[in-house]
Amino acid sequence: MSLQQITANDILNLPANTVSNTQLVAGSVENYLSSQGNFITYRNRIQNGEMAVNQRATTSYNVSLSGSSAGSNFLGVDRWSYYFYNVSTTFNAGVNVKQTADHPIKGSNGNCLEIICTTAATPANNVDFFTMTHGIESQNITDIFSGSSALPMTLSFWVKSNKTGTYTVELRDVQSGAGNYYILVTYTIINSGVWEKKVINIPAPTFSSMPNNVSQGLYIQFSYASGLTSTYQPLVANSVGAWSNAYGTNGAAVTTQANLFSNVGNYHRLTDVQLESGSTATPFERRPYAVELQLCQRYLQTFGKLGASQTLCAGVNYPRLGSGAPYQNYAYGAGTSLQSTMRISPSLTVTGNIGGYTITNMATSDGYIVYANNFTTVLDSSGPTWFALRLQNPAGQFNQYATIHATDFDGTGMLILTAEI
Amino acid sequence: MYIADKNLRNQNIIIRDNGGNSLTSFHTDPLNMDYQRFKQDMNSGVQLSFANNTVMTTEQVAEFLATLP
Repeated sequence: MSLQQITANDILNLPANTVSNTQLVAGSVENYLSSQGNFITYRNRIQNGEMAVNQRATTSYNVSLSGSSAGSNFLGVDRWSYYFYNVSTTFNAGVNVKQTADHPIKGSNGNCLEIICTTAATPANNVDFFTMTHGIESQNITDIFSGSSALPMTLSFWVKSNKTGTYTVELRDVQSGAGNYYILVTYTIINSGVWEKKVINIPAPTFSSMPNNVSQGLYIQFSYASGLTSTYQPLVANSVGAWSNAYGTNGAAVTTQANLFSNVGNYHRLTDVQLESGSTATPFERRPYAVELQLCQRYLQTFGKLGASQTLCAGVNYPRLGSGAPYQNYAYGAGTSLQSTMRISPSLTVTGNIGGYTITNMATSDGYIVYANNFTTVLDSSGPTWFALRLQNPAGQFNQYATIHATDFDGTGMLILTAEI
Repeated sequence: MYIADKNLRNQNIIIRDNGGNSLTSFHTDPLNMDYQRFKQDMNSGVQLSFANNTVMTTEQVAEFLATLP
């Protein structure tokens, strides 16, 4: 075949030894893909689409919709958050979200994002839904969302579920001003309990000129349940397969959307999610774990979880959190460099029994003063490359500069820095 | 539940008690998702306290929010 006839998919799927080096001019493959707005590497605009990175080390968490009108959070697999509305107060589903060792290619050596129904419920018309969401930073898609020269996209992923039927994916350009352009696309799970690959073409977003900044530019939302026969129905129907800025709220889905929460035990597994420019789904871009981890650390970094039964005063096994200065005898500020530059100045979440610290006091001969479990630990300040803790003790025990080590008494403590999007 | 606190340089820090031995603290940065959630929660009437744990009145919450970006 001539080079003009082959597609990006053909290039990446060439059987071994079918094309010799002499048949392809040097650089032709790279030039061809580039002409399609694509690249050999970093084609995939989704981060952690393989669901491999899980810095919180959360193997499973539960979301109870009962008693909440809405909720969203990042709790497990990096870069993926749950998001629900239960405005009716009757959509009281119980949901278990987990990283599961099951993958269409790697088997139990790969991972997927699994949603399991633990309490059945039906979303009410108009107002209820449950989704998993992935946000993309504006500056990472300015080449695709480039006004009149915008590029079409292709979304591909693997799914496996015992609940067959139609499911919705929503893409929303949150930088497109009033109304926010969005598009609803669908896929069908045909066979129960079998991995199926889905490929969906997305038309070029010619309406958009994505700003070059660190804000959220686009989000992709996989819907697992959504109220039917809603007042959104005409708008939703009009937007299926085409970008629209007609009013439609977050979490919108097509009216034939399956309800994963119809029965306890229903599950849905998702992995190898890829969004790329062009109209062809190329094979999933499998990046090294270390690369994927570093991409994720722009949005999340952790310190801690050192292992069970750490002993105080050993002074060598604890991560050093930096030097601290006393403040009015009740608090310490302790600065620490982050592992890489984050999107914005991060938030700090302290979980578990991280509240004990070893304070190395330079003014005493023995070198150590130990305060265990009597600090409140909060963020003092932070920047994209650093953070400072405020270790606060109302009793007022500080009067010396010190080096501070975090201690983790039971292996549960963790400092989580987040700049999620 | 939220606490309006200051850092050691007297800048605003918001602390959220997540329950279950977990605290989240963050800047009042419009690009920060925790801050965005804080503002939504304030609109929903979630409790906000001063640093000394005294719960703010509705008027005090409105006054405090008016000082934030």
